[in-house]
Amino acid sequence: MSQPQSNRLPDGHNSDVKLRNVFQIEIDETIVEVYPGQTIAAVLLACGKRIFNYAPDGTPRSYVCGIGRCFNCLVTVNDEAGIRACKTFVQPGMKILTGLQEMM
Amino acid sequence: MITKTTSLAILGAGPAGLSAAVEAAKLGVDTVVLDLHARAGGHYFNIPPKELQPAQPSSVLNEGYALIDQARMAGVEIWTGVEVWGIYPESPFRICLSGGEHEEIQAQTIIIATGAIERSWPFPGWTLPGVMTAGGALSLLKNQNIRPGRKVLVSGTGPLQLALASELVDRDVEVAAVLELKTWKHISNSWRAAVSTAATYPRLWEGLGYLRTLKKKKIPYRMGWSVIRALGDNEVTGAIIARVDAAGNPDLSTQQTVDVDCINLGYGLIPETQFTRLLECKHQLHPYLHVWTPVRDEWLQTSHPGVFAAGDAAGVFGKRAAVLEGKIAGFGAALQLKRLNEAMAAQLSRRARKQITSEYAFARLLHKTFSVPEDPCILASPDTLICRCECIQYAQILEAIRDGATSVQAVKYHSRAGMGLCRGIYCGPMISRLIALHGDIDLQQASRSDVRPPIFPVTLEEALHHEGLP
Repeated sequence: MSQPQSNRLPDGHNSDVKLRNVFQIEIDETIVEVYPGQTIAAVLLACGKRIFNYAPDGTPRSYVCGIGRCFNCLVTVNDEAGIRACKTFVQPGMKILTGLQEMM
Repeated sequence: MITKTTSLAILGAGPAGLSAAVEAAKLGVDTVVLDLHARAGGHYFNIPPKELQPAQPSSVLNEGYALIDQARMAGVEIWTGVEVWGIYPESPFRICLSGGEHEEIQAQTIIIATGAIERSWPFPGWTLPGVMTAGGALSLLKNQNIRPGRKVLVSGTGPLQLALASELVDRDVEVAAVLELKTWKHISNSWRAAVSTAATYPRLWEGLGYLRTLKKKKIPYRMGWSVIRALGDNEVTGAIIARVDAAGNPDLSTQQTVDVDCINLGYGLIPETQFTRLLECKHQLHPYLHVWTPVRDEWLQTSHPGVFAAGDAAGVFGKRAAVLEGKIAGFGAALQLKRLNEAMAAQLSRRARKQITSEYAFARLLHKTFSVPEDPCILASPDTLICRCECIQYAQILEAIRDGATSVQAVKYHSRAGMGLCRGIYCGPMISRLIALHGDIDLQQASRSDVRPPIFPVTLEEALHHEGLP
């Protein structure tokens, strides 16, 4: 059962991008169908998953600057911690974990 | 260690960097442009990934594609997905890289065109998931085709707010309200003085167009208002907004709660000067942005010979100015490399120099009109985080200042603010102004903050490799 990207704006809505080549990744052990060219941050937000990690003081953090400079959007990808979700593209078979303490 | 040698290395493949590359390459300078993102073009063009490229690109996108093509055809190498974590000021410069094939690039001259970042404007709840920058929201919308939230509050100052609101509305994303910090009185007084600036009119027209869109959709546009608190335990579930005075103080008698799950903050762009500070270039205070900008000569060369700075990285003058500055810096670098003489360089740059004066004038007008209050933490509570990376609260920063810290560097030692992953680029500008305000120190001195490599996290292996260790 895969999680829908409900915050994804419909194809063709003010954009004539037709998407192909859907593949699967895992987000917190749930299968999600994604498209090439999507960033991890975009997919997480599209699925309504806004808590990307917890900061050292325990406060939840998410996507903020979108340009890879603020380091708030960190997630764990394929067992590697501290990955900026806003500038990392999804790849087939990727395993993403959110809600961890990423900033050390 | 895999290295490459070039005559000119340009940091940043945005309008300034690419324009500089084109001019330098046309004069026979071997040029490599480095960019941390996967696609060239920078944040202005916001080029989407290949797979999400629209069949009918906008005119802005087409302009971006054209500039990138122009650079490639001139023989420029563009390395994307590459991050610079250090620059050793040797001869040639040694630029340390992460993420690409090469670990180092050696260059005789450097043009820094790394752009701007959004100004932080802290208030209680501003770190909650759902609070993001206007630029971040625009990127999600245009580049990734994702709704930033179910219902959005847009709060900040300046024309970018309207552009964002317009993009949200165009894609049927619900906008609760658009809040502009400055009052109509302030803005109209400022613009009246600028009636003679030719660059004003097309922009004014554009702005009015956006306002018409908002009015049609019945979206409230309030002037002299701001978000003052984000509500929610773990994510944004609402916001409190209020009228604010010229100093940014909220009038709590006007406060209202709005039902939103997303807050887009646009309090202006500030130049990101990590690289020019890393190279210990001389900086001066920007008259309206309250931040340091590198001192440059007529070729946009900094006080460090061989290092040039162009575009938003040196002062946020907008895209048109960035393109023109890029050209001038490109000629400057070529001149430095003796690929042409002074007379030739002067002739080639004449047109750009003429055109740029009106761009500078318009940028000054925007900065003056949409300036932010002097106290960057006017909306913050004692426990509001200022350094988001190390989780340092406003009260702790004030304590450091009270205990005698008179520079950003000193506050860093006292409180750890600025020691986190972002290297203090977001909290630094706020801290320097707090020092100037509370410590009665002049802002020029208060802004002192040393930058040392690595300026972005690299593995120990990468760092050691650079020192020639296995």
